[in-house]
Amino acid sequence: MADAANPVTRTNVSRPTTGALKWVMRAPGLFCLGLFLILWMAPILLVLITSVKSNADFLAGPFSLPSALTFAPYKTVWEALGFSTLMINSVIYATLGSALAVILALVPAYALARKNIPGQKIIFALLLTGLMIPQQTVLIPLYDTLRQLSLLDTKLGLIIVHAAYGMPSQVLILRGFMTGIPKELDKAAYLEGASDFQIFSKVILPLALPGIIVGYTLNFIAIWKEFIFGLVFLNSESNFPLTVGMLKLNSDRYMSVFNMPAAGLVISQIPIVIVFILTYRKLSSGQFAGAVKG
Amino acid sequence: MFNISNGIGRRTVFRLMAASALCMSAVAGSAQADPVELRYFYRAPWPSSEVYANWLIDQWNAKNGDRIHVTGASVDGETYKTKQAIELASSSPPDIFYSWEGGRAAEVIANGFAADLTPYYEQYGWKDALVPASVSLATFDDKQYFLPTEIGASVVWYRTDIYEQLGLSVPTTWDELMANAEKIKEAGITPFNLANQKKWPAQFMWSAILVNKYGLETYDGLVNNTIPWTDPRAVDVTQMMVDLAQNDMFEDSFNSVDLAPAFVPWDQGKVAMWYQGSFNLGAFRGESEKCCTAPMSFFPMPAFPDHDPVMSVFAEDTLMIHAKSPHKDEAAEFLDWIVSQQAMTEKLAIDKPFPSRIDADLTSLSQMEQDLGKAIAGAGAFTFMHVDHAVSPAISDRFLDAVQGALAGAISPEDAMKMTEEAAIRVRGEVLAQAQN
Amino acid sequence: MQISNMLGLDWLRQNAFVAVFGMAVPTIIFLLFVGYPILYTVYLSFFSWNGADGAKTFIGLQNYTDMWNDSYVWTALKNNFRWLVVTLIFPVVAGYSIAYVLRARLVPFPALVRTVIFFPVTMSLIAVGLMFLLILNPMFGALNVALESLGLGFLIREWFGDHRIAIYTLAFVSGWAFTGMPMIFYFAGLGDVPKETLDAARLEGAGHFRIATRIALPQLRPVTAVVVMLTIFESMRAFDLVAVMTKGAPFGSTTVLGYQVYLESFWNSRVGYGAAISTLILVLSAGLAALVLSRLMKGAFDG
Repeated sequence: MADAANPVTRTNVSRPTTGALKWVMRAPGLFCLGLFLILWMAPILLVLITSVKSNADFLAGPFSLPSALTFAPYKTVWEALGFSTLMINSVIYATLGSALAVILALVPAYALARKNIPGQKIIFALLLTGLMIPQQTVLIPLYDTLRQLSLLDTKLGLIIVHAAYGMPSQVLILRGFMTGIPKELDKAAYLEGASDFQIFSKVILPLALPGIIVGYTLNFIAIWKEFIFGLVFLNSESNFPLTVGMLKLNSDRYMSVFNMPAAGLVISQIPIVIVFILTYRKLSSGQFAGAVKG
Repeated sequence: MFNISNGIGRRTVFRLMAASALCMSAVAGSAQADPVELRYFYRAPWPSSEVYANWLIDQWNAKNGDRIHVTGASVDGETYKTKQAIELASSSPPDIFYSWEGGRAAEVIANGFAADLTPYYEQYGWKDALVPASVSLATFDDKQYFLPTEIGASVVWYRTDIYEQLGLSVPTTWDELMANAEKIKEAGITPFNLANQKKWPAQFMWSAILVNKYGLETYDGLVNNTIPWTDPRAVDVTQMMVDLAQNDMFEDSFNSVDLAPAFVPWDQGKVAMWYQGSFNLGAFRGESEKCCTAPMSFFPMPAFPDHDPVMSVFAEDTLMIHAKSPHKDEAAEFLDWIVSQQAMTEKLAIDKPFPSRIDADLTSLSQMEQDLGKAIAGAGAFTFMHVDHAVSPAISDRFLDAVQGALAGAISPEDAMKMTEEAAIRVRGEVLAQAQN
Repeated sequence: MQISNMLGLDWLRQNAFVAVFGMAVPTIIFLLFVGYPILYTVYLSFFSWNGADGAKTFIGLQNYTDMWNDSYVWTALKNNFRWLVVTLIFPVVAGYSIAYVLRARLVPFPALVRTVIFFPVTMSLIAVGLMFLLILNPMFGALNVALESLGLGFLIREWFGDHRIAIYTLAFVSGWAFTGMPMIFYFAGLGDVPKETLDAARLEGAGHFRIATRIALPQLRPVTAVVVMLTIFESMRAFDLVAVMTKGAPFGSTTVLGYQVYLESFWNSRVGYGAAISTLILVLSAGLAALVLSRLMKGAFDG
């Protein structure tokens, strides 16, 4: 893709062009734009369109436009799946789980960024283990742990598990941000007699706030998407997150005409779209760099 | 908590804490003390299953909620398979739960999760109230372990309009059925729906052919682990299915068509026949008042020479009481409500046929459904159930995969049965001598 | 030298805050919810246990020899690697290319492109799987209709019904949802590559392809390491898409190790065997991660 666009832009830079020619030269760029939009937007748009089609419109073909908008599939699915509960639950798990993960990760990140603590390498190895561990492999023992703590089928239990599994990546991300804060700042504070806690809370924390927001949001998204912990550790429908409740969309009758699963899909994306709109600037800009460069 | 000089930061943290406190208090919740709490865990393969279950629970709680309060929880049919194992072994298992019949039920019983319901069968007179075939299914070692709430049968559904149009008559032998299928194919209509994406549908036809061609005892031998799956008869039936597939008797891409979408070509008249269970009648009814959206009827899988036709009669929905439930009596009371005449009649309106109760009022159903209902109720004893109900999942999963693979031409019928037998050997722990033909 | 100092007590006293909140608390949580479960899984893998009653039977390496002879585990293992290869190629290459053309301003509306491609990252794989079940459906799916109308009908396949290609379909769907991740990482990384380096290359007449592959990419090694590691972890834990789209069908050809663990533990009641497969996944992930760390990321995480 990059090399296809290459000669054009170079000419563009070096030579003034007339209006018509300019458009021709932009063609590869526009082509790429079209390709990206079709590949990544079309599936979502198709689902949106399908969700407001009547059964008859649906059978007319996937690309037919609805003759009239119907919101009946939304109503049916909303009621049948109890989407209001599912959404509230998912929001609870994601907000609190990632909050707890960030809180747990702050001081370790600070310690790794600023202090020469013993066994740094071991800690990194452990953190990476925590990052990589596939959830399916620890279900049985975790189930056992939660049972012994009487946390099975509770929201609190799932929040703690999410926090524990979110913590390693949070430590790495926050540490990245904290390393980027000039060391002179806390050295100065140290010379003025500030304690570790004071340096941490007054110097590091405020400056690491962008990192905290990025880390928090990433963890929020991760918990939002998580599926198997919720499936295994929860029994009551009143505790299910969206991902588990949504599985019913894949059951037999809903799938006969696709407007109902499509409507369910659209509904399930609404909260995360809001989060996305609020934070995506931070996520998609250079804020990541701190975390990435390490 | 943190002394942050930055104003925005402080506000953010404050909001976060406030939100946390709010949610935590919501999490803590409050428990009601007085009535006995029962947890009812079921699978909801159709939306109507859930609507009906909610109706059952709401009605019950309105009447008895101050004494015995029931809370329902459900997952879809496929998820239930794995979720059941987790739930039953948990420290707070559900008091009442959905169970499969046959091999699955036997496993649950062997693991000690199922309460013996024999006393309740006596107390509530279920033995006489329920269809005999379903009681015989619930009986293991002379004790009853589950309560069948829906029974069913597998038959060949056919589009009467297509049959009429092509001048076909209902077949009574396998050869007639095949002759009909050929004519349907020539007319440009798909002879049979298979809809085998989730890999369980193909076994319906497989087991029906096997039972009808080689007799019930052969089938029982296979599922009871006395005849190896590599037996030539099992291979032959697999080969017959493969031949049907290669002969374009099934719809295109049958291994990627799911059951639910397959109702669309059925309703559109693009398919003429479908060997499936009666639990699909709710879907056949669709939005119509009475069954069915499409003009259709049924006939049993036709006979092969030298054999009487045998129709599969099985329990589609069955409920167990958990052995560890501290409230078995209350749970049995709730079960008795589920099989009461009122509840069973409502099931026909909200959900789908067939009720397990012998005196259930079927008059609200279409004539075709009533006929099938009578045939099921008249079946004195259970005949056979399909492979995934009859044997444990370790074997049936391999079997279903193998048949799906054979139908796709990925492996030969011999290898498919070899694959099944390997799983069976592991489960039963021994190799069987090849049975005599 | 004082005894307290030798024991590190002085260090502890001076760094109490860090020691308690920075090390002790997270360590306890980590051990309880991550460390112990891993060890217990490995322990369980030497037992035969149906998960229902308390009777665990020690059977030594039996589960591992069973695994060796289990064609499903081999299929799953191969599928995990197919998945890994597809996700290393498609989303990583696409993500980098997109990040590059965005940074080089070769495409109009870069903000829109970034949003659109990053959005699927926020979707749960359950939702993504359901969506592609609708789009790839053989009867009403949009893809086949689109191919047909573009005159590409010969490309139509049974996307998730053909045992030869179904696993690639799943891997591509996962790649579709994942592309935003490498894109954002590389986009951020490219922002830090000194502009002078790129301008100098441009003046010397290097094409964008050359700049992207020969000049920018070598500078992005730490980013690549992170991206590759994330990709490895994603593909080793592949599960959700299989669970929602195919459940291992057709013909058991789309199973992955994670799905086998789930099936054996919770459906076939072979918890010990499931634990043995889990151990295999853990070893594989750790091995691959170590490989990446040693090759691509020397010193990046040494603090």
